[in-house]
Amino acid sequence: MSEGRSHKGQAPAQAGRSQTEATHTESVNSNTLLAETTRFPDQAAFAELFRSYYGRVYQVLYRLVGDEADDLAQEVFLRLYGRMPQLIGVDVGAWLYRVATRLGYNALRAAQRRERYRDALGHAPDGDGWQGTTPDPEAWAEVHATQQRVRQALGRLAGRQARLLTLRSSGLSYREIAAALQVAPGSVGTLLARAERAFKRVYGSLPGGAAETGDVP
Amino acid sequence: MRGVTRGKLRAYLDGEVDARTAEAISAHVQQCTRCQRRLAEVRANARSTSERLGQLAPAHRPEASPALAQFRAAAGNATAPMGRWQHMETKRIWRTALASLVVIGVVVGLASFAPARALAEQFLGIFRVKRFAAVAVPPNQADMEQLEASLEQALEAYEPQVIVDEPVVDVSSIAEASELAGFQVRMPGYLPFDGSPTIQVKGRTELASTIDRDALAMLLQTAGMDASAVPADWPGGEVRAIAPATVSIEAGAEQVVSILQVWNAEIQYPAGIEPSLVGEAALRLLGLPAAQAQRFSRSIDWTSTLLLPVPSRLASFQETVVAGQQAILLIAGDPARGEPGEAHVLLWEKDDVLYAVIARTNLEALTRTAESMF
Repeated sequence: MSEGRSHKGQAPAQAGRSQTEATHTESVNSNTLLAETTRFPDQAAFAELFRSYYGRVYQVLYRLVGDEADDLAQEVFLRLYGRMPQLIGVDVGAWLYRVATRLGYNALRAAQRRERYRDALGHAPDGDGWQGTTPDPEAWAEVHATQQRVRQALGRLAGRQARLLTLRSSGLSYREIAAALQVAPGSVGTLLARAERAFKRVYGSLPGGAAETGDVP
Repeated sequence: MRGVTRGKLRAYLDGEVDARTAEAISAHVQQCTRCQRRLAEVRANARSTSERLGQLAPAHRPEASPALAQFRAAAGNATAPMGRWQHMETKRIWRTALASLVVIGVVVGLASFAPARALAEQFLGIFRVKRFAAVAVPPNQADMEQLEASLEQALEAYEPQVIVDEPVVDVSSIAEASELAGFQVRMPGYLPFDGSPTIQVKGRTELASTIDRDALAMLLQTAGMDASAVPADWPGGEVRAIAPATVSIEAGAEQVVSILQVWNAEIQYPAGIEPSLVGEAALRLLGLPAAQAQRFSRSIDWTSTLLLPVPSRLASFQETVVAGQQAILLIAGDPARGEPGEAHVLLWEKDDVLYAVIARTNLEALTRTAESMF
């Protein structure tokens, strides 16, 4: 169960929180809470958005977190569901990619932190065994090791760089990337070139990564 | 056409420049060996990155329908999916704020270099951010591109590494935030946008960049100054930005106001050094005329002032006052280009806490939010 889902078990804390917020928000606009709690999203419109964007959001997340992408994609859309009334007039695609890459990157970093703790404690990593999706365990192990290395490198990059590379790799245009990461479209090339150099450097510095980096002409 | 930046070349490779620019780039690259090399490098990096990330593509096609069914089953059980889902979008702001501290720290750190003093001094100078000074960087487009290209090269080696990155924790009240962060967190009495505020506390963050002699000499050279001011045996050093605790308050929906409070932020740099010399270099590098750079660098207290170079085409700034303290207001967007720009930022320091109010709203609302915190 992912961290985000445990909120159901935290109902009392949530209730306490809403009260604090209510006290504060009322001084701003007394309609705010009423509006937020009574306007539920349009189900048909939500389903349409879900169908249009699920594949892309999943693609983006899978690159960052692998099999955890299912759970995180659900979480991304749950956030969309919760915020739909407030997202009128907003570029939903950009919003989804923004939230997805942020959650994915954070999850990747968290997983790597857990990995480090486990290493430090001398425990074997979990969830790393052959899962039988390919017939050949050796080939699987090799692909898996490369994937691990690529994700490790992404996790060591600054968030924006990792997210940028992930979005580009998922096939987004510069315009879409700019909207998702809230940067000027004209700066995407610069940011991308910089992120790619950083990625190369970080990847090359990882154990097993150096052997592969002799590919500059 | 002068040299083409890596960014332009990158976009050119992806077919993301207009036809005229593409032609100009292609013509230039044909007769410029430097840009040919640069293009080859950019292309090689792009290719190897894309191949590696390509390994991460899922082997199966994601299917929306079963996922939607699963979603409906889960969402049916969730009572109010509001509130909690609105959190956690501040990571970008944390990073932007802290990363810019380091980049600026590098400039300031460079500014702290002077050959006259004993470089054997091993202690770190501590730069506690007490006030801000902003300096306008010339608006000339060609200059800016040139500057971008040289800064891109010069600062690349200093890209900050994350040393400590304690997690972000959601809290439900200002009291809780204050207890966790270890300082008195302030809540504005006024907010420009509707929506429940979310409060988060981030633990210690440390970012560090290593500077070596070559890079430093190159920076001086690029600034048109005498690089021999860096002794051949200068061992290099580290610039480190530390934020022991940071609190973020966010309110709003598609329009968001963010309030950051950073306690005891400091930048450490290899010290024992005359600040104004390389400060001058940094300013010249940023495009200030030599005389002006010298005057400005001598008028700054480099041990406590966070210098914010403000490119005129991205933003302008003005000095103002918040809670009796000197403050800097960065106004996003260049009206001449008709771009809406990013959010405006109001920055000030009071009692060892740096405050930033960030929003795309009118300046009056920004100032009112800031003042309502005291």
